[in-house]
Amino acid sequence: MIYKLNKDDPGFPEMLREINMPPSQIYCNGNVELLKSPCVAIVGSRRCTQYGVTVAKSIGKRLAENGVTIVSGMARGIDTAAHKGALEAEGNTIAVFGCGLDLCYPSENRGLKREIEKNGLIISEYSVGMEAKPFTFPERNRIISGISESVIIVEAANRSGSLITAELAADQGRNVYAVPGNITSEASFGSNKLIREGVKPLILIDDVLTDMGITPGCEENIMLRLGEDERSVYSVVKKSSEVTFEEICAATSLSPAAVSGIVTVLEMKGIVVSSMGKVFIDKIVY
Amino acid sequence: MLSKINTAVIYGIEAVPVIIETDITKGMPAMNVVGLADTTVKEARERIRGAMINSDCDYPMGRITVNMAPAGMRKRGSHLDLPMAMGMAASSRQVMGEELERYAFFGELSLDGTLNRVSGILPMVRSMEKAGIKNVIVPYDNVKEAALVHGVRVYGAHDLAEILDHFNLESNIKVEDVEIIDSDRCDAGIEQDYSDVKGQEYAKRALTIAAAGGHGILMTGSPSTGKTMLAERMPTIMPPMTYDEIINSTIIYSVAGLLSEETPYICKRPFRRPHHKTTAAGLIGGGTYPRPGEITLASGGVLFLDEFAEFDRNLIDTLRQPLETRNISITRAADTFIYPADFLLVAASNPCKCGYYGDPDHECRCSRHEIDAYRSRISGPIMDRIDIHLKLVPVKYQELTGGTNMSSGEMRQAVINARAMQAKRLKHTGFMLNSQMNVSATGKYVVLDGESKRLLEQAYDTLNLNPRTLLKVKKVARTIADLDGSDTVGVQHVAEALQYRE
Repeated sequence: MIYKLNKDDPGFPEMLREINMPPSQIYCNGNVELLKSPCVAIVGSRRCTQYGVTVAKSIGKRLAENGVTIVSGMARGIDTAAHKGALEAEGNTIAVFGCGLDLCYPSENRGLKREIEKNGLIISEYSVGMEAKPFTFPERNRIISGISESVIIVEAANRSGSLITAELAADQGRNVYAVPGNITSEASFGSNKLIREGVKPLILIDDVLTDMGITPGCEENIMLRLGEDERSVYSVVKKSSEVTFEEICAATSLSPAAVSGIVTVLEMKGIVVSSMGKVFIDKIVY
Repeated sequence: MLSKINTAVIYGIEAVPVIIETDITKGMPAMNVVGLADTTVKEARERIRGAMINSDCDYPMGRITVNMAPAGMRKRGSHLDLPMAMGMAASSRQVMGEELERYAFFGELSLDGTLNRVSGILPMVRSMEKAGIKNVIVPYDNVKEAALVHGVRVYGAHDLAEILDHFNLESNIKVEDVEIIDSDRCDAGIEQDYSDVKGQEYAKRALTIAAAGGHGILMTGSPSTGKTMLAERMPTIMPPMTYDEIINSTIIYSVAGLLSEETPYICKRPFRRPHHKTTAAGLIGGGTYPRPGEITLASGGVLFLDEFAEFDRNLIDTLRQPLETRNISITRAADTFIYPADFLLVAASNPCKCGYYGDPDHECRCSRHEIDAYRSRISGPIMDRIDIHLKLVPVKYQELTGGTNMSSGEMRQAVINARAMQAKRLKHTGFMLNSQMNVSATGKYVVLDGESKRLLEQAYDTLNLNPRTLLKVKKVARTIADLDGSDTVGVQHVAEALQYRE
């Protein structure tokens, strides 16, 4: 059920009321209590790499595990990964729409939208039936950073919309983090540039929690869950975070048949992910 | 005088015996052909006339009636020239008739009396053998093909005069020694070997599984990852053809007119590679007089569809029936023909329109929408019939030089062993290979041990499988276990099979 919160209503988030040009109302669907919880925004490029997806998902999961609500825009790429990470941890998440709450953009995220409505919250300043327009997304971004204590930029290309969010967040006085990427990767160019300009680089996920005054819970040592061959495959993948099956075979002297099997098991354990013939790290472990 | 000559015509890819009756009576000189003869047959008159005159023979003066029985079936083919000429020679008493009925005749005549090679010889000679006719006269060029049929004396003739002399007991045509299939010929030209493909051991493993269980495979990868090279070598790891397979393939190629002096019979597994702009008739067969299509020509071998996503979707959907039933039925006005279509599907595709999605060294220029659109060009029902999905990545320079390198010989031996296990297990089921098993056979013959059952259960949830992919995984796991020589399907087999899911 969609209901409306006016700027003067007591349920309207305090932090959002204080920003420059706050929305005069927001429409909500889901658990409104989440607006009172500590929120962190994770945003980034639609055209992201596997690295970006892994990072966004891991951050979403780790923060949500520790009681932080993950805010994002449910766009393709990083946003989707962040929401999914939070849902995977059975944590809380808020999606801020750039259109009316009865619509779904992008339409392939219909399933995700339903899930967030059920287990989290979707909000928008636009009334039912309002379609997404080019100007609604930057406007939506001010709400994403407006309700959050911190904003994390995962992957942003040069001139990405996420850079606008970073700027708005800085103006609103939020903690801004940028996830560093390879300097050869085009997808990380914008986020690396933010770091050059003084934005805090995100090196350890738990730093975000400590900065918020939350003591992070203990992390499970996944190495203990793995068999010997699994461990050796995992350490090859971990070394460069992105390897081909051929490279794993060469580095471990296992047969292609054995490597395929082990990768499947690691995939099921949620530690690596295989995509387009390559194996990537799916869970960040230090 | 009336004469009867044995011959045959092609119907679909089978041959039907035909008797040519020739009667010459007194009257105005004329020649009439009755019995649903096609234009090529009616035109034969002029060729026969020239050939007879140039073979020191007289063209009979009188009213010639040629009847082709059975009269209800349409008859085509220039191979009817020779039997018609023999009928006219016999009816005009220019050749002794006693022996003629024990022979069958096939061949196209030139105006000078020379016999030219014709297509469809193998099935026609076979039909004669079944009809109890033990002597056949064929153009000399067709001898090797005709000689594949056991129990028939094959006479290879160069021209009409030679044949007339044979029956008039002036000189004999030599009976060609029945040539057993020449293994040198079969091995010749297999220069390709998987050892040429460096640094793709993972892909070779997947292809070995595909060949062993007859699983359709789709290779996705950016340009120059070796998709074509890998596909082209697929026939080199399939088991050698058996005599029956050679006969069946040669029949198809014979009817399609694709045999020649250099390849008189097919003893290497076919590898067909139709272009993505090919028509439905070209792919599945058809035309007014249905001709075998690419899928039939690939029967017993490999059908390679390069640029899979570029094929017209409707065209690819026509493959659904043949992939299930291993044959294709083509219906034209009055007739339905069933052609074999038992091929191994090997498809290759770029990951996106520009070809570089997921490539580490090139930037993909496609939008998300374009990538989705490109993928959705491959229809879902066909994807469901492809058991192995293989993603290829470019090979690094170091991998081109070092490391292990499987050769076709090793891979073929593994395939042969695995196929032997399948043949034993599936003996009385009507299935030959794991990929052909239906749901109930899969349930019966894919015996999972406790641990692999649990793994599959977990995978169903964590990897988001659906019932269809589950079935495919089970079949592929069965083949992997066969390659391993194992009767039960173990956890490592299932885990590997899961890696080839969509």
